[in-house]
Amino acid sequence: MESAAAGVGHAEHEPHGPPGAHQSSRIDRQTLGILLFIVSEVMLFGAFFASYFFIRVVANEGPWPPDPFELPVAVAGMNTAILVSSSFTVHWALESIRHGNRRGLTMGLAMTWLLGVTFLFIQLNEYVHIGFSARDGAFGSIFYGLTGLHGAHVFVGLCLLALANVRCWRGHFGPEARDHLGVEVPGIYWHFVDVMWLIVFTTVYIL
Amino acid sequence: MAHRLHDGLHTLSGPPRERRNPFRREQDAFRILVSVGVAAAIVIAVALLISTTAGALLGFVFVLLGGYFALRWLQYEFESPDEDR
Repeated sequence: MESAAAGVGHAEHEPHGPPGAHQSSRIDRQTLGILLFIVSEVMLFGAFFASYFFIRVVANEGPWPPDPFELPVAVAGMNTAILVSSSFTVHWALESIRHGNRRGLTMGLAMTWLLGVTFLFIQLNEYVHIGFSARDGAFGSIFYGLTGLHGAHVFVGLCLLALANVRCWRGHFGPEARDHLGVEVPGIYWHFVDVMWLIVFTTVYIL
Repeated sequence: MAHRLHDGLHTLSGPPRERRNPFRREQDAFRILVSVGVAAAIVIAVALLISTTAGALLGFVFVLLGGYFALRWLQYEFESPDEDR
């Protein structure tokens, strides 16, 4: 009887379901997944940067960019300011929902999406007016390769932000961390895309 | 020290701080973006005011610094949780 009572008491403290998985490191599964994704992205960009520096340092003799090519640095600088601003607006959106301010979330997400679309539109406009294509030698190829790869990431980010915007208009998301994961994850991705652009802009347009 | 812990007080080093995780918390990712933005602004300023080579060298130093912090973070995260006990 005594042992049965002890058994009941023991059962009260035991969690239901199978025991938790053994962890060989502090890192949790979700973080590991995102980490592997980001690492693969960094390696992808790294391959393009390696090509860029090879063409510039090893295979190039003379000025950079090579003579007939000219890059619109001022337009790209303005575009950089637009993209960096969009990171601030997505941060504002998340800070708003953390404090229960739905209006701030709606405004922040809408502004982020609009700034992102503006960035992509200006970049496409730059491609139209730049005066060379990806076929015009190694410089043209690597320029379009690097900026185009980044542009593709912006497009993916815009798709994620569009979903977040629609969900926001439908009344989703709340102040609790688990209730605004649908904004937090696109926000983290958007910051990553912005960090990559800062590196691409500094390398390709300035250095 | 032992009686302080027994009374429910924190150790002198204070309560353990939550580690920054830019892959889970947007605030931490935003902090990294701001840091990279500041670093990029410094590199651009050096490249425009001094020379492209100096800017590129400084950029390389920043990349190494970023790599060092990333490695330290990864080293901690991939340690066994038994280290905490």
